[in-house]
Formats: sequence, structure tokens, C-alpha cells
Amino acid sequence: MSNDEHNHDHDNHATTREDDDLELTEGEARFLALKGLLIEQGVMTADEIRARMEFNERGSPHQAARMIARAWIDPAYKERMLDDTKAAAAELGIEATEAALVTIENTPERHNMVVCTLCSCYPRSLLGEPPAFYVSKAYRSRAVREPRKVLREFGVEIPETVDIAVHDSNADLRYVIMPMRPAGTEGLSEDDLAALITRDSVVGCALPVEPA
Amino acid sequence: MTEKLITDIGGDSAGVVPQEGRDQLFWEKQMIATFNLLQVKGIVVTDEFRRTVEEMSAEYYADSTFYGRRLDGMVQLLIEKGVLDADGFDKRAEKILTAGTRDHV
Repeated sequence: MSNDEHNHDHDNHATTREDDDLELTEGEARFLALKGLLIEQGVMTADEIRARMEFNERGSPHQAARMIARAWIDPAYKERMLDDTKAAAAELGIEATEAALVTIENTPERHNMVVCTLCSCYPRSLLGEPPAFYVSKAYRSRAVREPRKVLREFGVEIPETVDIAVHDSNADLRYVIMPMRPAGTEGLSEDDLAALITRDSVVGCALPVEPA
Repeated sequence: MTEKLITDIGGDSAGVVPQEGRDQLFWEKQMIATFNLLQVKGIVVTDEFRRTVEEMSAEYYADSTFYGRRLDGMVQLLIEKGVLDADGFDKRAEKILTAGTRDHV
């Protein structure tokens, strides 16, 4: 990793990154060529691309957090989410475009985590774009062989008395992990509970945030 | 045993999992949206895309990135299907890269 990459504007940018200050790369040039040809040939329009980008932006970890927070306070909703995750998403107005979604619940006896060893299959409708670690070859390789060690790199220590199950996602079936509700959250509202549920906790690489 | 696919790396040994992320670039968001539209329109299906990645050479795959593979696989499929002309595509990409600007559409 070069110093240039390292020093590059980490402090001044929040979640949206403008590209104008970056030099055009070969990848971007190739994409612009592709986009231009597809539009000129009438395969798609620029408006369609813009609209699809907006649609994709709806997918964010907040969607999964809303569902899990609801499940924590409403046992009937939890049953429905475990039974049919896409239908449970639709109940909260979330359109899940994945072929199939399955929710797996963490228990005191078993911690679950998700990987896509072959590529990067991920529940984007509920979590947005996958993080860099999830698409990395290191995570894809090691998660199934040494999950405890991988989790330690995330700062997560799972006691030896708790089993770890690793689930391999694919394009036809993607997993969502339902973390256990932390102790001491009895009085919290649904919104406050949702704030404890992080992206990585829904992949099984973190535990929910402890309440303040 | 049949030979392993280049994508079949589950269980291999590897280094530390990178913890540092970066935000998606604007063109990467556009590219994913373009790929999704090709799927919605029935021009490209996920399994075809996966096949293009599986056909990449081991050396190429080892150095490739997530967004790079998505773009290369999509271009490869569109050329195979006659939607894109390979030569015309390469020339246009080269011209844009040489110009170094983004206002081409």
C-alpha cells in the first residue's frame, strides 16, 4: 500500500465520495465506454441508470437493523422473519430483490457468520454494498477454515463453549444473521434497538453495540 | 478429483482480513446499476456472468478486484452476445482514457 493511497483524504469525506479529484483510471474509462455504447445503441437510457442507482441506494444496513429490532420486540414478527425473510422485509416496506433470503438466529449455544467463498453474494437490499473485507480473498478463503481466528481479527472473542457455524452464501440463497438482543435493553424503543445493530453484526463478524 | 475452479478458494490459507474499507466510487455505483439493468432486461443472467469469471486465468484472477471482475465479465458477455463490438469498445475506452475526462456520455 503506497503512502499516497494511505494519505488520501480520509478525514474530509463522509459517506459520499466525489470522483472529480481522482485521476481517471482504466477501469472507469472502460466503464464510460461501455455506458456510452449501451446508451447510443438504445440498450438502456441514462435515466434508467440514474433511477437504478437511486433504487440501489435504498439498500443499507439500516434496513436489516429495522427488521431485527422489530423481531427483538415482536415474537410473531420474528417467527415470520425466520420463516420468510423476504415477506418480512416487505411488511416493513423493503423490496428485497434477492432470489432468496434466509435469516439465521444466534443463540447462547451457537454463533453464526456468513461468507460467500466463490464470489461476493450478499443481501444488498438489506445491507447495501458489501464491505471490502467481505469481498476480500482473505475472508473468502479463511472464514470457513478458521472462523474464530478471523473473528479475533475483528475484535470478537467467541467463548470456546459456543459453537460457530459458517454459512456459505450463493446467488440463489443469501443469509442474514439475527444477533442476540443485548442484556440491559429492556426499556429501549424500536429505533434505539435498531441503532445497536451494525452491518457487521448482521454478517456475524461483530456483536451488537452495547447500550450506553 | 476434478480440478478446482479459480473462484473456489474457500478453505485456502491466506493473510490477514483487511479491515480498512473505502467508499464506493461514483462510477462503480453506475457500473453496478448498469449490470442490474442488464439483468432486469434479460440481456445478462447471473450464472453467465459467473462463468465469465470462472474462465479468467489464475494469474488474472489473483490480481483482479471485485469491481474489475464485474466490469470485465459484463463486457465479455456483451461481446459474446453481439451487443458490443470488441474493437469499437476498445477504441472508445482508449480514447476516453487518453482524454482523461469524464464527459463522454
